[in-house]
Amino acid sequence: MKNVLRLAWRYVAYHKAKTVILTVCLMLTAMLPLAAHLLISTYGESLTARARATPLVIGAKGNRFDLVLKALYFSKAHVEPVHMRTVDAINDGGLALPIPLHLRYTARGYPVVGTTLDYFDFRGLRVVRGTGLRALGEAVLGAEVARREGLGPGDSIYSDQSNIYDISKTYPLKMHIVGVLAETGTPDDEAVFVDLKSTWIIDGIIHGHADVVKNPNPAVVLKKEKENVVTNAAIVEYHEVTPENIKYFHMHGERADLPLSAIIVVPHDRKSATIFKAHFASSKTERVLVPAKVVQELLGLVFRVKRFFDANFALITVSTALFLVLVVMLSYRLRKREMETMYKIGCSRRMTFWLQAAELGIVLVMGLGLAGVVAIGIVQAVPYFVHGL
Amino acid sequence: MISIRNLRFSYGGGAFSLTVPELHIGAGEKVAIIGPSGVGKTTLAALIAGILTPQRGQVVVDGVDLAREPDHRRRNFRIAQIGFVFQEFELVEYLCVRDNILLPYYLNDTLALTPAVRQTAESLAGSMRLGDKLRRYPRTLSQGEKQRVAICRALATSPKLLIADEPTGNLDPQTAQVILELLIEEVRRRGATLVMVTHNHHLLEAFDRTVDIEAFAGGGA
Repeated sequence: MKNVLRLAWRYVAYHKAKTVILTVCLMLTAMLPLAAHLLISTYGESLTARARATPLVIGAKGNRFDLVLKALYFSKAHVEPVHMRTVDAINDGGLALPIPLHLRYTARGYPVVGTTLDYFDFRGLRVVRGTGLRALGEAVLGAEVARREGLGPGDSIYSDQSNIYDISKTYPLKMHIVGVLAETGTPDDEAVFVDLKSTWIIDGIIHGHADVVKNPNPAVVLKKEKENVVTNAAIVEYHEVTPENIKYFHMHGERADLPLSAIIVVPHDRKSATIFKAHFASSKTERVLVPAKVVQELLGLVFRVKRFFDANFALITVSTALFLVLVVMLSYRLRKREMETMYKIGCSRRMTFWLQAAELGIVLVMGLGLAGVVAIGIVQAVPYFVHGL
Repeated sequence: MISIRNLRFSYGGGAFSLTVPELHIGAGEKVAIIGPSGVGKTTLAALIAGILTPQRGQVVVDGVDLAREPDHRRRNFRIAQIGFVFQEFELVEYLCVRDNILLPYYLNDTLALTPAVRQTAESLAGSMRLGDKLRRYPRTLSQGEKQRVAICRALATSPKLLIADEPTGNLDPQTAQVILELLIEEVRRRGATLVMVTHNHHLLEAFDRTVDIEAFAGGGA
């Protein structure tokens, strides 16, 4: 067998062009279905696991897939806001723990997750370097963000400018990194966590500027009526929260109106969950979703599309197999004399068969092996190219 | 060395038939088999090598009646005891000169490819003036060099019998003479028997004996 392999290898190594063409042909045929299968099984499993770990999600009525993907995987999908009054109502109801999420912004392309400390407990997130969130304007990085960007406690990160052509929008917020989370293999690794109020600063809803009531600057004051001071656009707003200026941050309006992207809800027990869902069933603006069901439905759609592709791949595989048979048959005819010479020298007919089979086997192994390597490479590379789905 | 009696062979369905009433070739003898084209020279060589088996009669080589042996034993006997040189060289294009010479060792597990065998093959190539061409492939060799490689391959297993089927048929007269001299010199040095099929009457002086296959009763198509 060793000699058969030796001769077969010499043949495929000598006929480089033929070998490369057949190998690439096999690789391309096998790589796509293999990559699709690996991607679906890998991401299907991680999608399902995170969904199963999240009991309920509340959000504005709209696309249920967008809402679940946003709340669980921090996708870039746009969802209509819900408000803090819903969080207050859940707290008042006493049936569940609400974990608000505000997910409109990014920093260096990574999602900025505005939430409360309950989120860290709920997901089991542990700080491995530095400390957790303690004050406004602080950030804790997911493990992958810290690794890729080379950031850690003591560094700072700016929120991304949402619209560089509109100067009336708020400027990026400089956030002080105080900690890095342990790696979890979930979307939390690729997020920047801040306090909910910090995301409202990026929104411009909470803002800070010099006190124009006690120390009015004539250059910025347009009108002054008792305690109400109207300023022009020249007033300088703070784009970084420091111990010195933190006292100047404030908001105008009602806390109940503050926007959120979604609310993760953790019912205290099964009965509470049922009552809770029944309560929100009649809401005209909000909806309660069970993420596990939504993700299952989403994967069902993916599998339906995959079945179509599988049928396509099957046809391609058959045509490639026929192409290979043709190549083998032509090769056999071209090499009949070579095989006859080997027989005359003293080689068995069986060995000449195995010799050609081994040549095909080597090409198959190379083609399929390469397909496997490329497919695994694609699965590994997908997270680098697809931020936040 | 070779003893043929009452041999009769014909290809299935064809009009061709070969009959050899009696032919004896002694050990160490150098015999040329001659005759016009289509008379059955190559067929006789194949029968002596055990590649073909006769419908009737005996072909005994070195005490073994090849006509009665099964295919695998004939192959094992052939690869160990008989060297074959073809008119068209029949080198394997994807193997270098060294591996072409060692080909019998790759093709049959009854032969052990040891470092000593490799050494022997290299010195054989050296004696055939191929010592500096061991890494080259057949497509880069001249016709004469290709035939020398083929002779080396035939001699690599140190066979007792060398069968050459018109080995100079594709060579110019000068190269043909050189190849024949090298072949006969190697055969003489090893004390082997040489049976060479040829229709080139200028080369016959180098042989101990000539067998005209046309002279056999019933020979020819």
